[in-house]
Order: sequence, then structure tokens, then C-alpha cells
Amino acid sequence: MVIHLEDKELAKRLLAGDERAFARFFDDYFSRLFRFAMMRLSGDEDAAREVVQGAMIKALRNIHGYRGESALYTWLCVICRNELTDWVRRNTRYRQHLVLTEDRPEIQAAIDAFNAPERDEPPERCRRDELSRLIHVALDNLPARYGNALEWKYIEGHSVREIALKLDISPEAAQSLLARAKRAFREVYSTLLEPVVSPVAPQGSR
Amino acid sequence: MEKGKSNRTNKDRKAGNADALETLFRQVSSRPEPSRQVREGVRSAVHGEWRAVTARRHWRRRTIGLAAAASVALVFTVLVLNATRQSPSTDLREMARVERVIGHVRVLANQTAERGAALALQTPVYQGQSLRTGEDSGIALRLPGGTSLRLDQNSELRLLDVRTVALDSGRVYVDSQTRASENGLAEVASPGLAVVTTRGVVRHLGTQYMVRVAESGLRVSVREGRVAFESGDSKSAPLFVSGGEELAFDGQGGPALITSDPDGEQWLWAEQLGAGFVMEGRPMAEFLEWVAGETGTEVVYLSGEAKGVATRTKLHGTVDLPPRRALELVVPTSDLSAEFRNGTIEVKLKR
Repeated sequence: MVIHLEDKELAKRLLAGDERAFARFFDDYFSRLFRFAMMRLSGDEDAAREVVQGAMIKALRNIHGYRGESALYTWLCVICRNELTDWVRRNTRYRQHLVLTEDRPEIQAAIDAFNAPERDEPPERCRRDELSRLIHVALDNLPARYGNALEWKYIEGHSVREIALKLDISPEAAQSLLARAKRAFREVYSTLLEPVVSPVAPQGSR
Repeated sequence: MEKGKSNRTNKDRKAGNADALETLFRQVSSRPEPSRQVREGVRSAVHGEWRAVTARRHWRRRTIGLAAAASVALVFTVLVLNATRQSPSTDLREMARVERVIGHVRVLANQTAERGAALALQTPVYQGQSLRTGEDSGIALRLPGGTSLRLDQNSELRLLDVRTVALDSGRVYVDSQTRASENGLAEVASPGLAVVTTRGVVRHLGTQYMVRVAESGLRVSVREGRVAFESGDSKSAPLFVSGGEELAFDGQGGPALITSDPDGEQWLWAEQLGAGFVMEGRPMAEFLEWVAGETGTEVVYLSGEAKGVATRTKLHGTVDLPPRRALELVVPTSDLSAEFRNGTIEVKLKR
């Protein structure tokens, strides 16, 4: 069983009332949870705000129960999903709850453990919008520094030096972080891609 | 395959993967971010709740020596406590009226037969009944004479008689609506309410205070004024606790007197249960005094003109909000501005 020590340490500092821990908690997770909710609420910003606020408050009330057995983001997503379900129940216009690829339990487990097999070929058969969404989801499922570093480098075009300044680390450390981030992204992204690119077995085959 | 060729193939494959990844990223835009307004709004709400959660868990300890209270200005009736619960009286004497209810609160006729009934506003509660709150619920009562009694979530309170309640678990807040004078005597000689616990009895001397009973012990926090605490031991002198102090009993050890922030988040739950303020026709000055009373602070006018405006400005309507939120909404409608600072509400003229 993997214990996410860094997340557990953050939870401990939150319980202790450390303001910097709160700042880190909010900055690292709010945007990701907001995107998580927005995707499931058809882009309704007001609804997403209500759901995420409720989820984060509930999480902080129960942070003493977080044991580090899953990534903190995964734990938060579980709470957020429950808040979404409750919100959908209260708001009948969202009666048909949106289920996304990455909500499947086996995918969640794989994302959390980073155990997905590598894929060598880019997903050429994906539609562009779904591709974009899956990439964003994969970035959000990485540790915040990894997701941010990849986005800054490869989407926004920042140099390694600029990334190092943003993260307050040396350029060498930023380079190393980018390498680790790419490996981690590949694993997570491959897992998300599997249900999309795996061919459907013809009926009657073993 | 030769090893060298295999290595070059692996290296080429890794380079190919890196190129594919970069190609992939170039096809998408940055992840969308919530607006600054949304971010700040949620941050503020979540931060406030987090502070309340940590304040309930966090206690600062400082033990000071307690001198014997040689000169006792007041005489108290000591209620002897025993291990078994007292049987509630069957006397249906009205003790208080429900002023506010949050969530579902049950009133129990007696402890053995739990015939719970839901409570509504202005419902009378009677001597001999018990009140039980659950998760995210609370109740405020108004006693004859004006004392406000507020019960927090996950708490149980027994109404023993018109001046005595027993806190079995959780937290109760008492605002006697009178203010202690310098010598500790209440300015208005209203009958004092006694809060009975398994550790002892707390009786106010004109004050706002809170009693918390938990498995770990007892806490008596005083926001304003003074309380006297008497244990069941007749040889022990009463302990006095003043505003900004907290008497803490943990485990089997002796009591400790520690500081308590009268303006801290631990009081917020009680503010949420306060009744609203009926503004119609009443001056702003009275509204400000109400906010100060509810928040354990004091109104300070930064100029005579500001005080004059507060006295002359008449308000309309009713505000049924917690006091801090009410202040934010009401004061800006006038020529005044008001701000919480260092335990006071500073009021001045708008420029």
C-alpha cells in the first residue's frame, strides 16, 4: 500500500492551524476541483462554485480522517463527487448525472497508483475536444507542481529558467522535475486513454 | 538483436515518446481557471470554516497559580452532584421560549422514554425537559429576565428548574444581558442562571460565557464579565473566571486558568444562533450596541459627530443575520463606517 507522505504532512499541518498549509491546500487543489466539477455540471460556474466550496469545507472538517492511503486529490475528488451527487439530487434539471471516463473506479485506482502500462503511439483516433479534456484531466491528476510545470513548458511556452523562478528552484532541479512530470503524465494519460483506443472485441471471440 | 542496437532502439523510443508528448501538448490550450471573484469568494468561505474547525481543536495552555479567594463578594448555593442523573421534575413550569433553531433539535420529556418532538420558534420549553442537538444543529432560548441560552451542535441540556440547567455534553453559551461592574457585582440584580456539570456549578455575575463538557473534561470560557465556579467539594473555595479567561479541567488533574480570546472563532457558533435585530424605527446606535453585545466587543466612536449621526439615524426593517454580517450590510447604508479592530467596533464618519 502506498502512503502519500507529503499529503499526509499537509493534512497534519492543516489540523494544526498552519496558515501556509491552508494557502498551499487552497492554491493546489481549488482550481483542479473546480474544473472537476465544471466538467460534470456542463460548465455551470455558479453550480461548480457551490459544489466545490461545500466539498472543500467538508474535507477540512474531516481532514483528521485522511490517512494518506490515497493521494489527497483523489480523496478530495471522492468528497466532491458526493457533493455533486447531492447537488444533482436537489437540482432536477441535472437529473441525468454525467459520468465521465475517469470516474470509473478502476481508472481512479490506476491513476492513483500510477501503474498504467506505457503507450507508444499518440491517440490519433481521439476527437480534438475529448483529447484536450483528457489532457487537462491527466494534468489535474498529477501533483500540482508536475501539472503546472508541464503546462508552463509545453502549452504556454515558458523556458526552463522561467519555470525554475516560478517554482523557486534551480534550473537543474526544474529540468529534473520536468522529466519526472513527463513520465508521470504518460502513465496517467495512458490509463485515461485506454477505454477510448482499445478496440472492441468482436462478439464470439475469446 | 545485438545489445548495442537494442540500447539505441530504447533510446530512440524514449526520444520518440518525448517528441510525441510535446506534440500532444501543442494541440491543447492551458487549463481553464476560475475567475478571481469566484476564487476569492470560495477562499474566504473555506478559510473561515477552517479557522473555526482549528479553533475548536486548538487550546493554548498556561497554568497560573490560583490564590484562595479570600474575599467573596457573593454567596452561592452549591448544588451537590451525584453520579446518577436527577429525575426531571414533572412540573410543567415554563422555563423559556425558543428564539432560534438551526437544523433538527429534539426535546425530550424524560431520559428513559425518549419521546422526542421537533421544536419550532416561540415554542415554550418546560422545567424537566431535555434538549438534544445533533450534527449541524443548535438552539437559542430566551429566559424570563432576558438571559439568552444557546446550545451548540451535538449537545444535551437538561432544564432542572427556572434558574438551573445541567449540561450533560457539548457546549452551552450564556448571555445574561447584564454587565458586571468593577467590583464583580451585577449592575442589575437579575436572578443568576446556574449551569451544572459533573465537575461543578458555574454561575454568572453578569456576563457572557460558555461551558463545554467533553470526554476530556470541562471548559468554562468567559467572554465578558465574571463567573464563579464551585466544585462539589465544600472545602474548596470558589474559582473566579473573568473576561478573556478560561478555566480548564482535563482528566483527573486540577484546574488550569488560561487565556481565551473574547473575539476568537470559538464564539462564532453562538453568534450564529443569536436572534436578529428588529431595526424598525430604532437608532443606528442601538443596532451597533446589539452587534457589540453579540460579538463580545465594545462600540468606540472616533468622533462626537459620528456618535451624533449614529444616534439620529433611524433604521427600517429587520435584519435576521449573524451580527458581523448584519454590520457589513447595515452600516454602509448610512453616513458611517464601522470596522472590528482589537476587540472594538470603531465607528467613524464616511469621508
